[in-house]
Amino acid sequence: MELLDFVLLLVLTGVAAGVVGSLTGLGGAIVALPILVLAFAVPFPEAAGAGLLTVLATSSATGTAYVHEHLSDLRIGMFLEVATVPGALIGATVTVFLVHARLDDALLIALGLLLLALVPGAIARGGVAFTTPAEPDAAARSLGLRGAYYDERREEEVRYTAGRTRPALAVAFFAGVVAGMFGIGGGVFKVLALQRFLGLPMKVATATSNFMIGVTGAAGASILLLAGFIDPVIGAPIALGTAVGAVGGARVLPRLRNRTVGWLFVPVIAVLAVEVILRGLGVG
Amino acid sequence: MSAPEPPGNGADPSLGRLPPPVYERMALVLLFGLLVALGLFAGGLIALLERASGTSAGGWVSPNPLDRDLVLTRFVHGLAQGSPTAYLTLGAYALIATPVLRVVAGTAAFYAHDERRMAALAAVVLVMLLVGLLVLGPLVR
Repeated sequence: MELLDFVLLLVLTGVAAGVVGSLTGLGGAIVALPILVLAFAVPFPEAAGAGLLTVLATSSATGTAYVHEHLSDLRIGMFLEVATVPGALIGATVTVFLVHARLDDALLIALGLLLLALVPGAIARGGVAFTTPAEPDAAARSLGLRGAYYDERREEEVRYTAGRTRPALAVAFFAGVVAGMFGIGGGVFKVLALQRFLGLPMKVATATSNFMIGVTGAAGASILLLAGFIDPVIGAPIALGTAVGAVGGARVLPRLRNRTVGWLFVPVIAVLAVEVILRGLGVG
Repeated sequence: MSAPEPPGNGADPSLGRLPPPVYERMALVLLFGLLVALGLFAGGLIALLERASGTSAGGWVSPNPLDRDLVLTRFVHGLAQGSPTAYLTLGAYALIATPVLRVVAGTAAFYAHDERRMAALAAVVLVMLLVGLLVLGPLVR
């Protein structure tokens, strides 16, 4: 394939992944990753490296708006980063060791299984809030993990307090491991920690997750970068495209964003997941 | 309708809220880093396509990028020579550095507002990021 075609196709793939990722709530990297492996025959390590560049670009692009609107909770985000960052460092280190042990295929199978496990839940949730209100525990009280945001739809200030910090930290650590290992954002798990365990409203959970994803991605990327898994000729066009797709998708898609549209992508992502598993098994 | 501004400087410790300028500064850090990185990516890709028009992608996608631009001396030499891949690598560095700078800004903001515990937590995050980059990364390499 000519370089021009390769770069243009990567940018277009990034744009599509950004749009689909924002529509389904899965994030651009987890959509781009299997496409890189299957359609572009990019080896898993370089695909994971490109995935983390994608995560960093989309997190900064969407995070800017959320921070500016005071929707991201800086305090709670920083609190959970204490768990996501070591998780990402460990996850990325495990990936480097597995690749050096020539177990890339095991990583591909694990990625496919992760995709299959995440997709139905993420789509079925379809933006429906499942916040469980929490009583502040000792850590939450000591660090002042509470906040408020102005809900434009309800036209009122919504106050919240965080609780259940220990299980939230455990889930955040797992989110970091997954992010570092596969080169994805792990936003689905971060939102779970923020919403289900800390008890934050959905808007704050989503915005804070986006805010945190960049730091988790930087932790994983630093390991993969030094391991030689980040090739900018692959990562740059896909990150550029995904950032454009994610921002464009976030602006244009609210009118389309509903469960029905999300479900349209379930078969596509499920097929990608199965293909990735087959490739890992040496069948595809 | 926009969010009503809290009284005073906007800080409301009872709601865990930092003053609005802290949010503005942090958003600016993210935006600036992103624009620098994407600008370097776009410029590097255009330069690469100009120089390598008609060549196969296989020759440019390195099996081990460390051999190309991730060795410091080669990287600096590449930048001086105007190598497109060196500028793409610089864009990757900028992208990775952006959230790290955001943590630095957060640490400074919490410290400046006398939130010692949060400042300490943010500093722990920063130290872990640096340990990854300076200790763990070189070890697993």
